[in-house]
Amino acid sequence: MNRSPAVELKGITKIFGRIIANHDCTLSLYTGEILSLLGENGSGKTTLMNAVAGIYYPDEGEIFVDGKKVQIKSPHDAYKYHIGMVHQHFKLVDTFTAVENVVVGLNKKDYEEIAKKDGEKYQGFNLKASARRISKICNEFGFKLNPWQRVNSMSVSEKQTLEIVKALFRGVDILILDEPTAVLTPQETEKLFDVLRNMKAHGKSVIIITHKLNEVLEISDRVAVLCKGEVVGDILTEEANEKILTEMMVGHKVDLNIERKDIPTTGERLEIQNLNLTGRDGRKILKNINFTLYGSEILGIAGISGSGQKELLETIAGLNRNTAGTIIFHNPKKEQPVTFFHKDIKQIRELAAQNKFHLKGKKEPLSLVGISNKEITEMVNNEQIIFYEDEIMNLKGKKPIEIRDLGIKLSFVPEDRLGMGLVGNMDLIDNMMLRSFRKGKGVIVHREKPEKLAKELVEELEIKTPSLHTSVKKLSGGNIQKVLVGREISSRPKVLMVAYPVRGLDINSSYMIYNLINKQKEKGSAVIYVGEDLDVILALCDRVLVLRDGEVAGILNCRETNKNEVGLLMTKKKKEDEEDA
Amino acid sequence: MRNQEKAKTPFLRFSLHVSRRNDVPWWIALVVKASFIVGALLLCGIISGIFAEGRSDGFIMFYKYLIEGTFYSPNTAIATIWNASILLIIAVAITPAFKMKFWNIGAEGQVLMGCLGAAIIMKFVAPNVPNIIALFLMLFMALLFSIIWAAIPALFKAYFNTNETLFTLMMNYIAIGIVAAFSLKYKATGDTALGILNAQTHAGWMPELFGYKYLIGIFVIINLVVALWFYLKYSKHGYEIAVLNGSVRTAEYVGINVKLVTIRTMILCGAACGAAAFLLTSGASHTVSETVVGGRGFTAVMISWLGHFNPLQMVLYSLLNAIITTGSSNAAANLGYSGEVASVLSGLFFLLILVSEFFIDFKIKFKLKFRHKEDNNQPPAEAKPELEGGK
Amino acid sequence: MGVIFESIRFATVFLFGSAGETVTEKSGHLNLGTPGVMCIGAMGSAIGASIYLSMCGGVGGTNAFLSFLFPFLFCILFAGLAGLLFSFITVTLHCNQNVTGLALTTFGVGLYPFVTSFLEANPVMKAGFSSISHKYLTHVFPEQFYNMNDFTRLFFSYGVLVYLAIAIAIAIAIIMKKTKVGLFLRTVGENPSAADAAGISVNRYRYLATMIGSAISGLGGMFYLFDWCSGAFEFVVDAYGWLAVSLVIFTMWKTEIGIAGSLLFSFLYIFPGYLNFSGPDKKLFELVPYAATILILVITSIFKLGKAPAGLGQSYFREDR
Repeated sequence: MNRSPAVELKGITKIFGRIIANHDCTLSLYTGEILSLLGENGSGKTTLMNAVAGIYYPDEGEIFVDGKKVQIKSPHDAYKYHIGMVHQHFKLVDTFTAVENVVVGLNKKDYEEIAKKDGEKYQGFNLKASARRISKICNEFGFKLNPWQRVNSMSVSEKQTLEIVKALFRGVDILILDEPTAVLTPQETEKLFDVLRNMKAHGKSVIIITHKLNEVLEISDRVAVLCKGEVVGDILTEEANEKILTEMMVGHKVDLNIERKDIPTTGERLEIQNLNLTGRDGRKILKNINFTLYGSEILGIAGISGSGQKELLETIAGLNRNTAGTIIFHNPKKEQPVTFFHKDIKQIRELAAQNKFHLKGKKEPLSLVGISNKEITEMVNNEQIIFYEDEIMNLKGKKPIEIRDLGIKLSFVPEDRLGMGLVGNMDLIDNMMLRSFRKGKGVIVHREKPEKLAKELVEELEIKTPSLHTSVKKLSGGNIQKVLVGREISSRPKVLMVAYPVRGLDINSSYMIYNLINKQKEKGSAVIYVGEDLDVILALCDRVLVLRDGEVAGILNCRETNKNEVGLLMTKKKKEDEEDA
Repeated sequence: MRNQEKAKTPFLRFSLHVSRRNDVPWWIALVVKASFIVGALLLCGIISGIFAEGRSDGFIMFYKYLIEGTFYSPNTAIATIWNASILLIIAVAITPAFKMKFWNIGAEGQVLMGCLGAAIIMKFVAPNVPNIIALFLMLFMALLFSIIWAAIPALFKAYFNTNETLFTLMMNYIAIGIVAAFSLKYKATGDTALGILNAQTHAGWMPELFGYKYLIGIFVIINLVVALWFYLKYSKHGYEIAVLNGSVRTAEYVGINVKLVTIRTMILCGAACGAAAFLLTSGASHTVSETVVGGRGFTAVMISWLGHFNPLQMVLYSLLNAIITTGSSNAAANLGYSGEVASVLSGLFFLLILVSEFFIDFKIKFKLKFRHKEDNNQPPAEAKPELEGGK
Repeated sequence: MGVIFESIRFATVFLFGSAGETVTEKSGHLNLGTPGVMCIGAMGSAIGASIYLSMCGGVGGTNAFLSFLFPFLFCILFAGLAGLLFSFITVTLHCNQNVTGLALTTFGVGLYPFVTSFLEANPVMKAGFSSISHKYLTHVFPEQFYNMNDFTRLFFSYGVLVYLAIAIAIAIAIIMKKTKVGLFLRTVGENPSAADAAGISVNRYRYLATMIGSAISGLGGMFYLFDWCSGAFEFVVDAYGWLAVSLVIFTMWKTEIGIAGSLLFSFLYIFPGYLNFSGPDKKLFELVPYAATILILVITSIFKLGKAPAGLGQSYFREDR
């Protein structure tokens, strides 16, 4: 193999505000090789490659192409050095045809170069000639693409094909593909790999950003692993196997001092049965999910990113419509008094009409017909109205607000903190009442309680903020997360769902979050923890559910399993797929 | 090809790198804003100095006439404050819509329709009923007309996601057409327009306070502005708008009905525009014509956006704009150039305030690089490492 | 017959205005400063004419071609500069397009009468403007030719700008559909990040499209001053600027439809006068174009036809994420 580096990155650092996306990354790509860039979600793979493709300009560091230092300030610069990138979100114009999308951005010089390469006459801007060339490229590499088809009528795989053809049309020597197989069927993936091998045979270099180990082993010559924004190492594929790569990707086992209390679970909280979710493009995102969640336990959810973790939580929280299956919630109310914390008077009357209550010390059903609101209020406050049984409700198809109105304490700490959990422009106090601002009479919002809560949280969780009236977007990532988690916990949830709660946080803040989650478990909450760091999941959670391509690959006991077992479950190809291929 | 690149590199090269920031201390923002405002006022004087006919003191005299035309006597001062208040109330009226990212640039039409509603009562009902009832009916009709005009685009936005910028813009001109037609239809024969209504009886006219015409109007507007500010800051509705300002996704997640809030907020906008229209018709114009709002709806859009939902900033911009337009007309009359200078200076003023936003919202890294003649591979020397905007 | 001549002639204001704004909007810029830009164009042509007149020392000795060229060049220069100002504030300084446009309109609509007020005192200019307008600008072909019959009158009795407007509208339509530049420009307007990734300089296209578009829109102002008003500078073009903006929407961003659309708008404006419509009815007639535009807006949104450039009104900053 020719060992001259086609591209070299030296000490690349990119910072977004307070977040360091890449720190001192050094990486080489050799001519005629396929390099896999492996790493967890958020490890900075895409940002690093965007710096090569000219989307982001690095804050520090140097890029060398063919041994010469270059400045890549724009995608145009990147093409100049024959570097092309296929982004995860395709950069295509929906209303244009394929050929129009391909030739967008090509200038006279580019056409001349293309003509020279092909040994044809220079034709300039000529859609028909370009379409012929596209067909030629398709034949050469084995694509199927109609140059005159409009993008808005194409499937995802066709769009990806178009993106690759677009790059090849420009004669790129270095092609970067960001998660190319995430949207493909196994057959399509095979075809893509054939194309990549073909490109390699033509002397081109390929970088493929991925986290699917089997694909890495199948396609690449070398693997570079990124972890937390830094390049942790690279290895020749022939020397690697799934186990070694899993270890590199998940890191060596770290002893985390996360305490895990062994407390008995307190009965079922959430029963998920045959849960399915279909995305907007018709793709199945969740497939037949089944599991049961118990009180006083933390269920970890592991999986390579995009396996449906986020969607699973959002579906339970009532944010997705296109679902099938059941989500059953058990409210442990048997022989417990009803409170205004959960129900209002109207709901209590409705439940009483269904004979759900009895009076304290009495057996016969309680009827509230003819009893005034004032009297009921008094009875509830004296804890005299008692439930017969646990409340069992199906949450499927209910919106977040409806779930709330049922008196169900379901808290959700979403991945997108400022886009969904909090409002960046609002201050701490206002963010406290995001889910409860309707409480209280009248048209005026009542800020006394939220203010008290904010004050308590700032003290208890050591949130660093200039004042309670500071916009949360001005706080650091860790403090923003503390505000969010603190608020969600303050409502004393029966079920707490957290998605990537420590992403971007420093060690101290992370431990604070782990402790908060542990406390909820002690209080009897059922917790679902979605995380990317397997060490944390195994140390913190009681059980771990591994998701793979929207399916449950297995549920393991965290006390008995280890990282490699989980890692293999996450990445292992399904049996049927292997038979298909 | 890469060799050519090198040859092209100039000896001296600028590099300007701009990045967004959101952590500007308030005092820097204040200094930047203030210096741009002062700059805008200086520019006005310079323009005056250039165009003042046959005299060399055009620059300094501009400011004399500016003050004289706006705060010379109690009457002119009150008129200036009245002009500013009308701008302010319209600007504050559309602020809730802007806050929920609904681009309502139809304030002109919404106010004008309100004026029409008020004028209809003034013409046909006011002469026959006690003044207090006339005023009440005028207010009612002004509110009704303005609300309808504001709600139509909101309904289409909520249900069909029709582009509200273009919709509200077009609604302005339909309102102008309707009002012009009305004015021509009911004018006295021989007149060119509707003219002052009830000039003798003063039916439907806002009474004067302490002998000053606009005082009641100014007083009402101050109260309205405070009320609207209170609504945005302390009401549950205002809270919902603030959440929508953050993100629609968050709003949906916490159970806010986005359609409902859109329509409700625009109805409120319409109502506030209607109130402004009522005050304008009963307190100042006493008639309706297509120029009765006179572009203040558009000016208010700029004031509202530049004010960043902050009423104090809007007060400042309204006042400054009123001073510049009224004052420069006075200067023009005395210094011998066209009164149209008012619109020119007002436009320049807003353009400069707009530009100042950039220096607050963005961080500018400015680099000067020298290429070394002998050795091209040496890293370029950096002369000025960093110059932050606003500092 | 007269109403048709007049309609064709007056359509030129809308055609220039909307063709220019179409070019601008295709790049993703919603320039609400178009009325201001048209005024600035008119102002530029007035400045050009007065410079030429003072060079010739009065009405005598003016050359027909130069009488056209001076106002024309100065018109596109000043209108183009207005476009440059808009682009600088919205692209380089990342300010809001709507607010910038409105401020530009305020500025331009004031600037035109302010500048022309200095011409008023000079009687030479008044006569000179009228003389300039009667060279190429109101009738480009000789009278004995176009006055032969109704057919020649229908097609050849107009000023040079009328033909230029139609030529520009057709040229824009062809450029947008058939050429590389048109394709690139549409990409910038539809999906700036795709354009950027394809190596197109979004900022440069937005700058150039807005400047060229503004120059074309500005010619509408020149037509209004020198053709429609025969050089009488007391009349201001701004009201038709908004109609030009609405025409862009009405024609769904296609200048070839714009030729017919501008005729329709102009007809609706001219027609009531021929029917001896009294004031109020005429005014109601005049709002029909706006109502029709709203109808188009509503229909396209209900049926999700999505003809507007997808990136319209959005600023683009590569590192935003």
